[in-house]
Amino acid sequence: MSEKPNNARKHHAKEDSSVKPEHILVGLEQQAELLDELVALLDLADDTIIISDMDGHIVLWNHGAELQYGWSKEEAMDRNSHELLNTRFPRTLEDVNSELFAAGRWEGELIHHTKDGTPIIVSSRWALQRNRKGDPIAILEIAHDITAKKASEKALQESERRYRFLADNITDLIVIFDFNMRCRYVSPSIERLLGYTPQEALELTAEQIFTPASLTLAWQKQDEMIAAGRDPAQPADRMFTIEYEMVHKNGSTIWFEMKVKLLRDADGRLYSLLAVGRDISKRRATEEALRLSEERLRVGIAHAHTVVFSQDSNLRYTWVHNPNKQLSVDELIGKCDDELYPPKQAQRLRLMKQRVLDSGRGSREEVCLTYQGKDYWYDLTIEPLRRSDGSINGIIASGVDISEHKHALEALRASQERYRYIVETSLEGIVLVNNARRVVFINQRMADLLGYQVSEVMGKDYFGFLDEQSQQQATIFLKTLAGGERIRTDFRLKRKDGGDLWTIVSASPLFETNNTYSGFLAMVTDITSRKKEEEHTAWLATFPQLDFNPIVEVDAAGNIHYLNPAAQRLFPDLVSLGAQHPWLAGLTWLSEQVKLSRNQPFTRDVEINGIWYKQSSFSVPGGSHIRIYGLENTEAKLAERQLWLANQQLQDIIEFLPDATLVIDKKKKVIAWNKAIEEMTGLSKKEIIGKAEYAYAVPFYGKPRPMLIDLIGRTDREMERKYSFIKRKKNILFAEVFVPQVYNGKGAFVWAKASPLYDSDGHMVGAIETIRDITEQKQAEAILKNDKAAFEQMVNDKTEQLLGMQKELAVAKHLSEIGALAATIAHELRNPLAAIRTAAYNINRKSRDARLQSHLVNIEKKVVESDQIINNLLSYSRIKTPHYQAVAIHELLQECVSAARERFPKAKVNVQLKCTCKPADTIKADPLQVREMFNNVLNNAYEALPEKKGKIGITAEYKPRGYFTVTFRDNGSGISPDDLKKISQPFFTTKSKGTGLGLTVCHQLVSLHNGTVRIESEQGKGTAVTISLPVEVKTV
Amino acid sequence: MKRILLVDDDEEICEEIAELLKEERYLVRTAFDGEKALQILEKEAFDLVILDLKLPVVSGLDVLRTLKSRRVPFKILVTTGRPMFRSEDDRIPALDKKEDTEGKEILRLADAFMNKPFDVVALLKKLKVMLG
Repeated sequence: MSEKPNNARKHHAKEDSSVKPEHILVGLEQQAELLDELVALLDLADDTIIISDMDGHIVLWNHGAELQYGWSKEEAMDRNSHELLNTRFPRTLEDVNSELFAAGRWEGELIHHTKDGTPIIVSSRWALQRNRKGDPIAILEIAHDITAKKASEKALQESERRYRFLADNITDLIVIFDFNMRCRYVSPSIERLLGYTPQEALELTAEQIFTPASLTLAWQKQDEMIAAGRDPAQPADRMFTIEYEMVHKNGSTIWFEMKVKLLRDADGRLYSLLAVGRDISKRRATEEALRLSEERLRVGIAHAHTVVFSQDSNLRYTWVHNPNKQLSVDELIGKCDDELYPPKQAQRLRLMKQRVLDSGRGSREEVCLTYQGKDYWYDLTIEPLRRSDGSINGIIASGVDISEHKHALEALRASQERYRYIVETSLEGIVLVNNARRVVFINQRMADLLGYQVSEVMGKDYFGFLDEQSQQQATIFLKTLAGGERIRTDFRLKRKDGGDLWTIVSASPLFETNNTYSGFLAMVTDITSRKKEEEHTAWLATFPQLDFNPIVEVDAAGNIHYLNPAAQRLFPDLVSLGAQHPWLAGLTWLSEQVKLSRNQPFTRDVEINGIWYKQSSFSVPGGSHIRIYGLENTEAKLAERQLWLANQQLQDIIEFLPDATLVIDKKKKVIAWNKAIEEMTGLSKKEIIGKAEYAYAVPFYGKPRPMLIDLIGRTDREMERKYSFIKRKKNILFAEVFVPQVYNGKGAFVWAKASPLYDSDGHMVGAIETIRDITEQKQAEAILKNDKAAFEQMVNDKTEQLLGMQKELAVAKHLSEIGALAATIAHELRNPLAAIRTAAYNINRKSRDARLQSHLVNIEKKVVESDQIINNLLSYSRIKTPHYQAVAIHELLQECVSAARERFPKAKVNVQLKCTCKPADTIKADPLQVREMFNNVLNNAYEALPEKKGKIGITAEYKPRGYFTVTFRDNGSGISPDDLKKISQPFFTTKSKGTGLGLTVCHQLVSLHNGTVRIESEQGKGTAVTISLPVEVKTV
Repeated sequence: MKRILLVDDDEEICEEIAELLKEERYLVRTAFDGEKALQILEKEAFDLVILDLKLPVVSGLDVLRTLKSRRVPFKILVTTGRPMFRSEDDRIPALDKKEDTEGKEILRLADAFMNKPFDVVALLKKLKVMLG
């Protein structure tokens, strides 16, 4: 320290010596003292003080400088200060010096370096010291270290910048509420957030600030916080985070998340709430959006490579992700399925989506969409899209394009289907077994054969379907198969029911692509049924046993080896009689015939007890037995006989034809030659039958030549010219010709007719010619020609006759129509009558009540009457040729009388039968028709007696000229002459009931017998009916 | 007791005749059509069949043919209201048509005939004869 003043003095002295020492010496002592004081002061000053001479050499370096720069006084003295401190000037030293010399002082910031080289910022003040003459002698520098200040200033600036930035950008709302929820302080940000100025905000009530729901929450939270704040057990005032909805000046609401804290005064008493709120409306919206996007993402991620889309509640596309290549997002957004896809597909989609909208439950389906004529398949998953409150406002869906898969699947399925069809419908059992002996496939047929369900067999070891023996066999087969060879063998399987299944198995080994044995495929044919067929054959063998027709097996000696039940029944004595039985008649001959006919049956007709059989005999293969089958053909036999009979009848008819008739066959052999032709030609049948070559012409023309019969089917003009008259009507020829040879050469003029004969198939088999002698007629014609008048008369007579016949015919036709009706009615009436009659009988029998008797008798009587009416109707409708036979007329008459008595049991009629004939006498008549005649007349007679009391006298007698007459004479009411005229007309009746046919029928029947009916009557006295019948058959 | 099958489509006739025959100590079964009759005959044995010709389903003639072709052991009495037979014992068909083959066939096949409405006493007499 002591050195300092010395240095300063030294320095000063130098200065002095260099300038004007004599002046310095004036008061030098005084001045030196002052200077020392000054130097000591300078040295003690906290500030760094440096004095340099005008050359820059340091003359004073105080304690402050020592501390500031690390250089001691000794080190610093006489050093150039700028060099020592490595001063950096803001401007050049010359500029600073010039400012210093001009103004006497300079101020500025410099950068100095300490002894260790650390730069420091100093606030430097320079002052220029001048001597009395005013010459500069030294420079005083006070350098104040401002490095720390500068640093803190910079830090402050930084901080301020930051805070300013914060303040400028503060978005949070800061409010201090009192416990009445009124604002004590509001941050200016309220204006931006809620539209109020802070001043306005201080005036707001809680109700104006919060929405009602949030206000309720705010009160509740405040109470909770106050309670917590007062509870010493609770940790020091906690911060609460609450979401409030606050009201903007414009009426809208904004969500704030508020961090709320209790405030205490200096005494620790609670007095208000500090709330810092942040607008979370956007966050909420973002959260919602985020949630939606998360949901989309969730579905999207869950179904990668999918179309993901959402649709609103109107099912319009709102968002589409990864659409298919055919539709762009722009094409889809805002549209409905209806606008994109065919109606049916769109409808299905809409229904599916609507269901999700309605039910809130997701749905998954495969859909087919057609776009631009191409089908796309999607595996579509639809989920409802929910708002935060859970309500549904749309759908979100993901669709996986499975078109390729689908098409491939479709193709595969089709092929599989074909394959399956072939396998399933195969009549063979098919089974696929893997190398672990497990059944991996079995068709239905195989399962059926085994008697299992397909499912029961799948996956099972197939040895389970084999018995021990077959298993051993199968083990050997497996080796063969594994060696790559096929197998075909008979094989026995075990059915579920334990029965044997005999099969033929064809098995082929299966190999993997790497040629390792992987199992075998077997086709299994059931041959169990073949065995059954054998049984079936045995069963067939029972057929002869059941045959209705007789079957007999016999040897040539007549020993019966077999006879079926039918044969036993039909020929009970066959065994005992043996060869004597008519069934085996001519057995030796028969067995020869059978041998001759080899495989063909030998047949003959045999009659046993009136039944005809067609008997067919065979030689039994491998034996000497004959098997004889019988087939009843009585009917056929009868028909054959009838045919023969009919043929015979035809022959007879031809025989007795009045016209000469000859029949020839196809070969022109005479096969029929009747009696008339025999008479005409004098040639007998025996002589001509079987002859051909126009032999039949000889008796007519004296030589063999063609006749009319030979002109059938051919024309021969020349020959035709020989006939005086010839006419062809279809195949029938008519001709007139004179044949010279007949009647022993007398010759005759004949009319001939020739017609072909056909068999049932329409083939011509022969021809017939009838020849009539018209010589007389020809003569008559000649006479008639001469007597025209006589001829005309004849014509007139004939005409009249014909007209009469036509009239009769008309009546007959009318009657036949009625007859048909009558037949129907009769049938219908007879059934009820039968029931009535039987019922009456039953009543009578059961009751035995005398009072009922008369009524039942009446019923019986009326039934009989009704039947009689029906009979008359029927008789009338089917009057026909009588079947003549010898009738014991007297006997018949008596029967009729007693029958009439029975019919009229109440009538007290005296019937007297006077008969001149003998009981054995007969007439030729139809007995039934005669009975009907008599019955009708008797009925009329009975009914004519008004009081049912009177006389009927019957007289029967043979009359001359072969007639037999019966007269019925009653003393009844008689008939008026008018009625008498109509009496024989059909349906004429004077009775209230009756058909009016009785007498008509009678009349007709009598006429058929060529008899006559005569009715004489006198009103009031009675009637007599006389029937005259020829005794022998008389033809008109 | 003799067993009789009565075949007639008229139920009242069946009822009355059945009653009548029961009184006569016959066992009686009835059938209203031909098919039913054949079914009954398959299962049960009878001594006699009274058969009407006009039957539904299977006609009386067909029943007659079937039974006769089987050579049944019992006799068959044909009853009919059809104007076919002039009297019970008359074996000549009453129809004029020469081709009345049906009539002829019935004549050949049936064992006896009764025209409706039959005399009850005559019927009973006939049955007694037929049943031996």
